Amino acid sequence: MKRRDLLIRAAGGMGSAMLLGALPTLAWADNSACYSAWSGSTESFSWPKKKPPYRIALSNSYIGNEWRAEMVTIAKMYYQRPEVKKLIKDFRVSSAGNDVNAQIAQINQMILSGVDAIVMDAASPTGLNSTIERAANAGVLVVSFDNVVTTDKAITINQDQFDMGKRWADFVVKHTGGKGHVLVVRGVAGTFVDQQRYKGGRSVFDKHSGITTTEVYGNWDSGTAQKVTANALAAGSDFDAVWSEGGDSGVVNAFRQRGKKVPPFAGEGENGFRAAAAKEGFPMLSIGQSAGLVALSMKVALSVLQGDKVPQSIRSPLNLVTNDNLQEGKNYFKDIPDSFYNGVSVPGCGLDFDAVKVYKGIT
Amino acid sequence: MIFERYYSSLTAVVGLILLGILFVYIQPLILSPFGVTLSANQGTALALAALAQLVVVLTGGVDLSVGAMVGLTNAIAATYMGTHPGIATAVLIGTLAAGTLAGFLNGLVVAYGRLQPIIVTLATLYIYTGVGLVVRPQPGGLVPSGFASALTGSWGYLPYALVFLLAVVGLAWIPLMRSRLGRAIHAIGDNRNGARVSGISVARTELWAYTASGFFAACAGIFLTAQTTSGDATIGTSYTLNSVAAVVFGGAVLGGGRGIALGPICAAYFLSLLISVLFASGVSPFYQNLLQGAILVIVLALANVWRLRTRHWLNVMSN
Repeated sequence: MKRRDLLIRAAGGMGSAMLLGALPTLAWADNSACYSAWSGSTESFSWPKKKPPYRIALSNSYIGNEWRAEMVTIAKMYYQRPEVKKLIKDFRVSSAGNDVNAQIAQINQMILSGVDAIVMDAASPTGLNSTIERAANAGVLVVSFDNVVTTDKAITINQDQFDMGKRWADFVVKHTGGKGHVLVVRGVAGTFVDQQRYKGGRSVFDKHSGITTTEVYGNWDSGTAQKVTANALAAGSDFDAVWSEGGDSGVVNAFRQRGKKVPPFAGEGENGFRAAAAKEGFPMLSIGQSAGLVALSMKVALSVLQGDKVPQSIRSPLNLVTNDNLQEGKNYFKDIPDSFYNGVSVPGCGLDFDAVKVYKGIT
Repeated sequence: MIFERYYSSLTAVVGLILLGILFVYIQPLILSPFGVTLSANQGTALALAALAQLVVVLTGGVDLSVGAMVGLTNAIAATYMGTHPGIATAVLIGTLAAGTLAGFLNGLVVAYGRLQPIIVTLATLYIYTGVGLVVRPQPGGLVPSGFASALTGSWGYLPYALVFLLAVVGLAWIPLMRSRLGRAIHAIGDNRNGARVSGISVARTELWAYTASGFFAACAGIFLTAQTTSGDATIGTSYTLNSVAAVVFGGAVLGGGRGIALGPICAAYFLSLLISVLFASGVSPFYQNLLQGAILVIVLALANVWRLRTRHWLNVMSN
């Protein structure tokens, strides 16, 4: 009797395992809602098919800011999903700091240890290219996201940073009527993301001769952004609008400390910035770079290893939050610190993560 | 006699050997030609930056602009090299000249402006990073593939990176240290006033020491260009403090006057390999920096405990 039970259970288990095995291919058949090719000229990317389970490594560079910490946490959360976990036999995370040489060393180690795919947030868009080519030659798939690399030997996944900067600037122009003094808070000098966002913003500002700008570098960090904004305000400037790449909670705080009303504000996806806009009602546009891009990259890596073809350069849609769709518990949160970046999901990909859980995963 | 001369480098040499053994134990593939080349490539830029730092430390100063000069020369080389071999060679020479000039300017202000080296080089750190960002506002650039493989490739087990490093040491470092200038550098670092009354021009010696530092930083920048096949003005940031760490770990005295190249070079490879070893042993990223620092402190402390067990305290003072 007992033995028969066992046999039936075993058969049932095998059946469900087979069914589950078939599921991912079904789920990943249609991705148009999730991502698209970067442009019409983007080449298709294919890779020799391998049998799961795979060994996947996440190579992160910087860990000094909240966004990266969220990203690493999301990667671990995604790996824990049952449908993902059974495809991966070994998942390793390592961070190199913002040091190209350390990341080269790290990727070399990953190649030597025989991983199947590397998912990475690069310390430099170009400095790792020769190392990535070496990885590709050694049969290691590389998927690069966020601070993406320029080589076409890797799949690149990102939101359109130029478009982001442009939309922020359009918002500023709309709310200032095309004339006024705009505070431009940039990110980290010399990075690809900062350049692209800034160029996008400039492409709009340059068309409006009535707009003057004051530029500061906030390094995408609340503390730094608050300091440089306070300096700009202390210099006696009045601002009619803010265009900021990040560290926005700090920018808002600097205005408050100075006893000034926050002007119309186009910025990133920080919790404190959105909460302040909800409370004080200043016009805002918030576009967050999603930390969930790491999960999308892992998902794409897994599907490419299983033989799917994808575009070599992938565009993930922007998610916009304005005064109209601000909602507590949905895109900003009471119990989470101001510096938390609220973009944690990738809509349309089945990659929804709970911000509260992500926050708890970090601490 | 020979042992005594190399005594200060002992910690770094032994540390590197032990780390190498540990590395082979964790990742046996590191002994393949591929692995040996990777490991050599990893430490060479820092080893050259450590030489740049050492020549200044020997005079009793410290150069905080080493990283900025590495980044600047990397940006220049990758921006102007193109693919034509003739132009590329000219640009390489120009890059060396640019780095040397940057070091010369440091020396000019330190020696004749009579300012503290740490302040001067902190200021030029910002200036050179700024110039680098003007040359190359966003990372990119192009280098001839032959140039990259000539510096980072290998001939069997012999990595060209080591050949390049030995060439720089043999053709620039050793002749420099054996020259009158080299002795003067040691002399002013050891006893500035003594050197002055012995008829050594302290200002001129400092000027040329900083100039040499710029040259070695440019060598590091050029190697980094080959290694990354691109330019990035901000890439050098980590080399400033790591080069100081390598110099101290390598047995040179921060007060000046004592130190040879072997120690800092081994220390540079030690620091670079340590990152790989930590990764290969699967340490969580959040602990990697912590362990890196802790290991450095422990190794230095152990070395000193051993050194302090000497019978005569005067020996400790003179070491």
